[in-house]
Amino acid sequence: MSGPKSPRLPKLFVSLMLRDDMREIVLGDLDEDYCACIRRGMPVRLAQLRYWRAAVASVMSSCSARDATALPKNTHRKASEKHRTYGGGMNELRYAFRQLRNSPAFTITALATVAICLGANLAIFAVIDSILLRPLPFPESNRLVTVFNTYPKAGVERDGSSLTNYYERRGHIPAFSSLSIVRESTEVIGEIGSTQQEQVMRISPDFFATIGVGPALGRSFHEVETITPIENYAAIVTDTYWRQRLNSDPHVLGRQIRVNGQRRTIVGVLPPRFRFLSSEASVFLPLTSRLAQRTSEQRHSGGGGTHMIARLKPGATVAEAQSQIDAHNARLEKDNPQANVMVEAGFRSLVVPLHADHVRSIRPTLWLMQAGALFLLIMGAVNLINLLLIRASSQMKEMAIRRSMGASRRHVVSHVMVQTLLLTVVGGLFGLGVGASGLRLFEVLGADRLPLGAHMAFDGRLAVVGLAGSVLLGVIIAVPIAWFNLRSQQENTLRSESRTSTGNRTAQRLRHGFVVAQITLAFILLAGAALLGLSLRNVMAVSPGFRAEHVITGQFTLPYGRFPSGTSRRVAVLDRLLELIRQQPGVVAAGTITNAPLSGNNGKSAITPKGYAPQRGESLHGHYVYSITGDYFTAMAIPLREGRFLTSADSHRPERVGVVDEDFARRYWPKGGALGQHVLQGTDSDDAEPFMIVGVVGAVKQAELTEPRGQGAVYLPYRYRESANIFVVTRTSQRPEAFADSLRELVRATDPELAIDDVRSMETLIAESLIGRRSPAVLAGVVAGVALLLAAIGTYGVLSYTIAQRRREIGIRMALGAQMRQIRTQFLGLGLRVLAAGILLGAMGAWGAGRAMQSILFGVPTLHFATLFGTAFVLAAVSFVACLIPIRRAWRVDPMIAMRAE
Amino acid sequence: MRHHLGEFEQLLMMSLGQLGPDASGLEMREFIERRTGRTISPGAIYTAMQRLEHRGFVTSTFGEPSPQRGGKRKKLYRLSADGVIALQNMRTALARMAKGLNPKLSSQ
Repeated sequence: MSGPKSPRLPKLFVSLMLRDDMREIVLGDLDEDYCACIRRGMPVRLAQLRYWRAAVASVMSSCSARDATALPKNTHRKASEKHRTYGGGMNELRYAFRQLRNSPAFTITALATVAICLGANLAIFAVIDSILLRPLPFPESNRLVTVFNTYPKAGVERDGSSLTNYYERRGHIPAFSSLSIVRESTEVIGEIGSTQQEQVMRISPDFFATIGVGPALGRSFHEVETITPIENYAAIVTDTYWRQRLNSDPHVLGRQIRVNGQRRTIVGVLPPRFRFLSSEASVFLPLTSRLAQRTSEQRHSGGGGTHMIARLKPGATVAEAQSQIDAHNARLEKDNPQANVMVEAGFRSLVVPLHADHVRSIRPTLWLMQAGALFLLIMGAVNLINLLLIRASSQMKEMAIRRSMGASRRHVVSHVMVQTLLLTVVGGLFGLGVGASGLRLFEVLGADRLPLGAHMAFDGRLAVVGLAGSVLLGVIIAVPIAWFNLRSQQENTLRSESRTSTGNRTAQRLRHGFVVAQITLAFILLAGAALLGLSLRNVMAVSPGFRAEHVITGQFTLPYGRFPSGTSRRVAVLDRLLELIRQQPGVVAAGTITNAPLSGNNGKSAITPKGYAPQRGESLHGHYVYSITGDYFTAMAIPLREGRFLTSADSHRPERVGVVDEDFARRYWPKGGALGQHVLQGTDSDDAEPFMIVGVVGAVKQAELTEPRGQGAVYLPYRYRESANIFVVTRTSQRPEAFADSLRELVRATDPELAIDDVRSMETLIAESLIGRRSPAVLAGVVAGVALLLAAIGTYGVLSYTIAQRRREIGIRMALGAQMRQIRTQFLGLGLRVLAAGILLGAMGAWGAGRAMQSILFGVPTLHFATLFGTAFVLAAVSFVACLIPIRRAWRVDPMIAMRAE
Repeated sequence: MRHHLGEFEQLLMMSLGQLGPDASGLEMREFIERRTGRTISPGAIYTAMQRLEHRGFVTSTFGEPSPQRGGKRKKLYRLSADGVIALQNMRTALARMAKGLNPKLSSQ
């Protein structure tokens, strides 16, 4: 036959599912019809569709109800006959398929249960795999560590490392085979007028050697390129940058790009898909410094933005490295006049594995979610076992016939195994789809912004895990069913089934026990979700200290080349920008600050009141220090407590003034009188010039909404702390988003070198800072909903079966004059007993779960009675409805029919 | 032997009667589709024909394989003597039931 071939997949399906005699004829018919259609001129797609439909319909009708009682061919074969096991297996499979097809409600419920439970686990496992389990994409990445300074008693938990740390430790720590330092920033790249903000990573030349992956083209940086003043301005770009921005120029090495107004030569291109942890840097520059910045005075001036990465020598451990670092620090600090201050601050340099450190914030949440998903899987499995046990009970007669025809124990087990495996594997295939869409859902909820979350994908490995899991699930579920079948083999049930009214006692207790277990698990999941939701609500209710509505914010960098610090150019450009913004209609107030609250990067610095000496044993404290211009406080609607706000004029006066927040004022001057006092940047013994406090403002949440009170912040005029990173904040009378484009144009109009980034309303910024809380709460809610559904199905199924089993008994009692009410009460009582047991156990479990979750809850106590009662109520209501449906059906039992029914 | 035929079996027997002896399943299928507008799958036809054969109403033989069928044989059916009787009885019964039905239907 010439022309397109008939589709192979349905052909395979048919040849598997139909018996030998039917197979040949049906396949022949399908092919002949297909050829005839093609010849008649039917489009190929249509003919193929027709083929599919006819094939599937043929299989379905060959499994029609009439044949359901026909047993598979090999049941009466003796166990000693070893051959034709494949044919035997296929027969079992066809029989199982037929059985499932004949009870569509059960099959659909079972498949949906398996798909949802397995899919949820797969999705979460995908996240855990890519973030926690998969090693970093560097050779022997388990040997990479990071070293950071901590001053716990000063309130500074993590302060990165300093340049001095790097230059002093380089080559002096035997446990490290390589040491490097990195700093991330946002810089302006491009020609005038078409600049863009890009993430940039500044690195020491040995960075690539440390991580073990280097440029694919060109070279890394030379040592001489890191000493300011530099003659050689070099840059390394990522593969993506080369392809997208430089058009994969084959002569890229030697080509120039303009970074912060400074021309740089590209000396290397990184390999494709290179990524350091979660960094989105597309350009790498040498981390340059003057020799004066590498001295011992700068040892503790890391500032939190610089990170030290090291590689352990083969055989060296983290503990060894830690003790060597401690010894090294002790040696150096002997010469440090400030050593006492640092000791009192609890200074230490900690060595921790890089991967673990990077994901530390998200680890508890992820494992919690996996635990939730596992609970769901257990519930689903329990549900399935229950439903299958029910089916097994009703099929006892058929099993007896099989046994009387010589089926061995092996056949019973294999029959059960085939049936459950068919359910779980097909359900598992659907579960792969559920898992893939679950992963997509996670991405929508912001999971790709988690540390290392950018490379989550549903790949083949996950599919294999999913299928293996579904096979395992099938085997596990088959065990109690097979046990039940084998046990009833010992009883002579061929005769007993027609007489018993209550069925197997043990099986009944088992079924009821399973329902109790389900209700317990559902309770725990519901309570957990409620606690997470409450936490989220509590966090969202925290006042940030300013009014976020109608405020738009954006961020840009002042390139060093064009706006060197120490001149008046930076102040001038900011003044000009604010001037332009104020001229726009609808603008109420505008200002700039070096770091907006809740923007995700907020570090503390040393700043102390003049003349302040800490008590014995107490250390100096770090506080938030920002510099501002314009009407920042007015724009953010931060209240004024005493004195006055800072304005742009303060950046043009020789007098140094500053404003502190009420927490700072209360800490150092608890009885008041902060106005007129002075503060110094750094510690008291530095020669810094003091700033006079002219105002006290309300406290603002800086790092996150859940930050404890009393951190303290100091605001200085921009001129005296000229950071290159600027956040511009504008309060408008219109919707903030409407002002976004104007803001971008105005920044460009102020100076063609500037490019503003991250333009969003303050409300959006706050919402994004909550993503780590919102997503788990949403997911927990979904999981809890599914759990509730499973519990309801389980309750309904068991009660339904119990009632159906006892139809005869009901019929007799009604014929003898029992009221429907009495019978209903009895079954309702059964349902309520099961529910009560489940709720009791569930409450205890929920308490335990609350304790386990304490670290991620906010403002919610372990034993939250409202949650427990609410959960109990919801569960009771749902279970009650689930009980009611089969009971109402029992009501309609006609006593005569019931007594005759068999 | 019971001579009662189910509705689907009736269609198959009638098509067999119309098409003559040694009709293939495909021909029967197309005939029924043309005359009644019902689409039937091959599986349904052969399952039903198997039952009819089991009851002794039809007999079957294998036809020659052909390239259009991918080298597979086809099955050819013909009515048995019992089958012809069953078919005739069914026709008579239906005719008796239908007598006078039309005017009653149109008046409802």
